Amino acid sequence: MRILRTRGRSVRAGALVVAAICASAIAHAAGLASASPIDIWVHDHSSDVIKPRPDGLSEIQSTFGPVCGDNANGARSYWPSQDSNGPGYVYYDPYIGKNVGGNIRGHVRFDHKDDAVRWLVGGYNCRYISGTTEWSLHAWGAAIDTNSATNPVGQDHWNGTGSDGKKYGTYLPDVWAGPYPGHKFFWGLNWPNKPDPMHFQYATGY
Amino acid sequence: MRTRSLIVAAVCGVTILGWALGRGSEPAVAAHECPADVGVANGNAGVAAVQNGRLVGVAAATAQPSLPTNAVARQVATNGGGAAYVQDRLGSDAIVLSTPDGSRVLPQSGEAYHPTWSVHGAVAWGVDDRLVVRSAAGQRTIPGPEPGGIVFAPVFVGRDVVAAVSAAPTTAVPEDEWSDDFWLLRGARWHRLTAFAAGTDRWTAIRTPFLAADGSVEFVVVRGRGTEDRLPSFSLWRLRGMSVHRVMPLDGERYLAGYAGDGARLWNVPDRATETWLIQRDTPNGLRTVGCGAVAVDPMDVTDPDRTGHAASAPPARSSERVPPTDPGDPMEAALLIGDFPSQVAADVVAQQVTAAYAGSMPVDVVQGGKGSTIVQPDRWAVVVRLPATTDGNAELSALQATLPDYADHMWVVVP
Repeated sequence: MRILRTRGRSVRAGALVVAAICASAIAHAAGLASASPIDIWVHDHSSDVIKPRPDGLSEIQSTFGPVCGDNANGARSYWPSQDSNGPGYVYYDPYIGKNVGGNIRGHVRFDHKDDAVRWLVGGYNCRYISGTTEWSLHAWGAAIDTNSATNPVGQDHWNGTGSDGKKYGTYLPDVWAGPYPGHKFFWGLNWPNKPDPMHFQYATGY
Repeated sequence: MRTRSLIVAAVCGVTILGWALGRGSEPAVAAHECPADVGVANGNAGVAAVQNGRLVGVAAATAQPSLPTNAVARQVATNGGGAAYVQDRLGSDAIVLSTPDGSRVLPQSGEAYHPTWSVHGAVAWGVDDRLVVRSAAGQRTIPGPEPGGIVFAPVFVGRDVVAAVSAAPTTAVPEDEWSDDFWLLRGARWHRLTAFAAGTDRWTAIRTPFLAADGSVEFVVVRGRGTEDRLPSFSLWRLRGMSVHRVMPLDGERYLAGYAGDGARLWNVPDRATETWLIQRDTPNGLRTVGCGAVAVDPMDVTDPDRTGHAASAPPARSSERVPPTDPGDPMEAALLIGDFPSQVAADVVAQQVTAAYAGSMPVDVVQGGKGSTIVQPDRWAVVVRLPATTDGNAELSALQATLPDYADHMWVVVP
């Protein structure tokens, strides 16, 4: 079980820090060296990365596993303006890990469009759809919300205002759900009755 | 000296992390088969339900209008020979009232929820953030107590109505459920009955309230954390008068489905492998399957008509996409990341453990987050295990978590 962004996580993070301090007590004696980060973006739209997108609950479960399941939040990437305090991590299922963490996050960064992202950005979230016994696709780590404060549920258009106050049009929806290069997320704005412009999900029929 | 320090560090780290970490158990999964004749079985159990898109278990004489195209029946309530249910449509829904005297389809102006009967034949249901009460005296619509909050799962208690209300989205929880409470409608005024704990991460949901024979209302409370990767906890609660208390914890996901003729509780238990709702009753020996179908829960084998827009057109492409679609590029490699660490030396020590776990067969790096990093925040360090391009990292993540369980909650799949 993994706990994130909670008091529990703080305790665990604190434990990791303490463990690290314990470890660092002998680090100099160990004489360890470290590698430099590699800073190359690899762009990949092959079927190994843009995987089959499940349709309907049965395929969703067979693809992503049990709802709120172990490691449904097992992949992450670091996003600008993730919440109102600034950048932060976004978590999702490893099945879409390369697509989100590599292709989409890479596009935004290497297009120099980090400022198009505006809080809140969220992925995995173990919750119900309100008033129902149906689980949100976020509970499988199969959906991402972006720019949610300016694109609430029910709004029938996309507000492309970025965190810098500039207008980025439909840049972000294009990257998540556009036909080219095709990262294959379904855009909640296209639900006919209750549009959800912040919402991008790697599934249909649910 | 070096060896002794390493042992101290290892013991220290393992002890602290072992205390801090922990892994939950998997919830039990039901795996029973439905009775051969679900309609008869449900009728014998005294409930009506939606099974394979059909209403089953109602009296044979009860009129059932055919479902329009792209509509789904859900959330069935029975009262003697009558049934009321939601006709979930693309766009605004309808409420269907079916009795031996005929049926009426009542179009609504939004999403409809959970019709319920009073002992006197009145019916109430939720529509978005409103409650509708229909009786012999007429029909009235009452705004809910919280603007933007969904009113659902009403229950008649004498002349009053108790309803669950889901709080409106917030900037911290912009969609999906985070806070439910019970409200009592007496006359034209709402009175709040509960104040369950909820916040940006911890949430509480109320599900499937039913009026018990003793006049109390029993319901299921579900409590979880949005960030936890395990199912939330389920428990049975009781509302009596103006006070609520917990009756008992439940051993997994299940919801009330009503009561048998002898007063025994009936439950809807999901069999997710077959997308079937089982109807089970309490017995001295545990739960026994007596029928199948969704009573007050939502069917798993049909899609909400409002979420079927996958054929809709995508927005136009933008010039910002710089790589031509025919460019196959290089295969993308995932990696396992263990972190975050406050210093390089701390990450180095863990890197040594990870290297040992792989017996040196996998490339292990230590990376520092910088301004443009997409995997580690600035001024933090992490250990990265580079994986072949042929994997998405999921299996490798589970394997490394099993090998180094003390770090399991601090491992992720990333794309360096």
